[in-house]
Amino acid sequence: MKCSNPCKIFGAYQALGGIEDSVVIFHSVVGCHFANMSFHLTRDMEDLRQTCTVINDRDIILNGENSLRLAIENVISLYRPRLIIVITGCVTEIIKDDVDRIVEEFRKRVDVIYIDGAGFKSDFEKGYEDALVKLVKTFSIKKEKSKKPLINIFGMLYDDYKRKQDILALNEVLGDKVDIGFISASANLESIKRIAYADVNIAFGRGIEACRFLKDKYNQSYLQMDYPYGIEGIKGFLGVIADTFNIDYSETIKNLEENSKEAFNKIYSYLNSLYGLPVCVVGSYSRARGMKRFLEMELGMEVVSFGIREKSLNMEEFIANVSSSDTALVFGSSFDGDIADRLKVPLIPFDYPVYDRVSISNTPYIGEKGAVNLTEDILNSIMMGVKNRGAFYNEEDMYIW
Amino acid sequence: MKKICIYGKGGIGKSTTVSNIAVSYSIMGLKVAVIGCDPKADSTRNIMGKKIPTLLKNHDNQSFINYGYNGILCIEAGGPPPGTGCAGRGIVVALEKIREDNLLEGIDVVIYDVIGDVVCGGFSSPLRENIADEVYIVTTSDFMSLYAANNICRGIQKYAQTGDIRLGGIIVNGRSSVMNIDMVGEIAGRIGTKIIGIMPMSKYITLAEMNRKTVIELYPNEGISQDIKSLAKSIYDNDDRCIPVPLLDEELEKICQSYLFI
Repeated sequence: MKCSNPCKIFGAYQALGGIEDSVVIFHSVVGCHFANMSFHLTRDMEDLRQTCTVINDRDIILNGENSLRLAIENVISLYRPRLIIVITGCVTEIIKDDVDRIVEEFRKRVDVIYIDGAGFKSDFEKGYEDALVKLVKTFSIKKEKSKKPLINIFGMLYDDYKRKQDILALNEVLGDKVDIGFISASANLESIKRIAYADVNIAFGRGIEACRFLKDKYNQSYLQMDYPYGIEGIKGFLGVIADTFNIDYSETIKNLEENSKEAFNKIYSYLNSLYGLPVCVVGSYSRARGMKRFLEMELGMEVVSFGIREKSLNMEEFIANVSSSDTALVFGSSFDGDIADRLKVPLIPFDYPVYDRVSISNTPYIGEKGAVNLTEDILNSIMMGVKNRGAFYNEEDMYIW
Repeated sequence: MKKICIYGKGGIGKSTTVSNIAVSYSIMGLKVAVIGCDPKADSTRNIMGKKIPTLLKNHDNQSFINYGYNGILCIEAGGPPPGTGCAGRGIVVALEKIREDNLLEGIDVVIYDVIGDVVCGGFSSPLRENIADEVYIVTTSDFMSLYAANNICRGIQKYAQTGDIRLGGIIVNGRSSVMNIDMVGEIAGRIGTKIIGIMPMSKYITLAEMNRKTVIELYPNEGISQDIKSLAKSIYDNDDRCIPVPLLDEELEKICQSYLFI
């Protein structure tokens, strides 16, 4: 059986792993640690801030509480972090180690937070939401008005394929008119404490529960939107910011349209061959919707198979549907490589997890730069694909679909 | 090797029964082992005269292997402190270790003393994988004790479908507030088994336990010691084993009510 949605522990890790002055301790068996780390390594192997209590049979029988104490002590002495994030797994939640009490023992020395990540209880989305809610509940402090327009961004993941590039692109497009106070994939404890200072919270799909909490407690407004892929996506994002703060972004929008036009002009003939191209998109809610809109509205492709992971997607049925279609490209995560392999078509990874390729160049997928980068990756993948190697070299190959 | 398993409601007298019948077998000249499957690790206290190191905390040395009165091999599985860990998993691991290390080689009778009720998969492990052949349930004639006994039969029935485990009979502990042997006999019959023997109420049992001894060791000439030896022999000679048919809770209640109103 192929699952559409990873387990809760991954969601918790993706929500909090990006807190740069923290260390994550998986209070679980070594597999939970290894799996999360293996999805992280291709993203940034320089930034490894996770460890594990490596629960074994003895811990299961006699309880793993001393192993957790030892792990916290070791983390304090080796890393000296501002924050320790303890994420439990299935085993420690089944035997019900008293993690709250152990965490409390250390609170005078370091900030420690305990997140229940047991996969048998729930899935990735719940893990992400629960972790962020607990984080803001524990650390946010009384709202003070920011002098400059300030926003928080939720819904980005620590191991997003283009995490750093997308964050940079967002900051660039906002310019010096608006600051980002907290961004869930790349934060620090101080920015979490000041999370309530922002004027508005924007959730790219995920993080909505934390936004609701902040609304209830600090009367912070929030907005949920799709991931801003493409020119229209980023225009929508800027439109929200412009309306919220009464800022004029028309010059920025004009510039990004011209920049992208300049890039696309170099390959305009190839772009024609993408019109009507049948493709499959599978991913998490806001990513998949944002990508579908970009592919259909901006590149003219036809999304013939569309799957959203959170909606209990039956992957067997979905794969059968994709297989019976004339899909020429699969947009998904590395998990969906088998669909692409079966159809002998390229996979364009955009959704978590992406563990089979690296991305160290400044090539975001968000906004107008992302539109160019995505289009470049799409065309290159088609040209390098097994089925259509050499496509676009001459006119007759351009319309082979 | 005869492989016996003793179950019953918590505090019903399982360990007392186990230690005394174990001593009876040793007096008969049999090589006997007692495996305590209770995290409290006190099943063998009366045979050893003290609590012994547990297998789970000492699996890397031999200190958990002890010989008590008359050469009875005593092993306590042990387990976590109250309210922590997973005692059921502990039982599974302990029994695996005993099997892997062939610790019961040459033993004529092994008796497993299992905690309270079949509360989870771990505590049902003696019922599986040919670890024990027959189960004896200790009960008084109190309703909740019989209720627990009936529940244990559900576990035996489940594992009897795929294994060799069978119910050997009911051991009646005469310690209840109102002793009603007929009622227990009827329930045993309805389940498909019989009363294999009775442990009469006796002050000598209490006195012996306070001295960390079995009653047979400390008061060998008292009538209670003869009763226990008789019970032990009945169990040893018993070849009438069954797959129990547990009663519905309502049926059990009705039977108990009918005896109470006589």
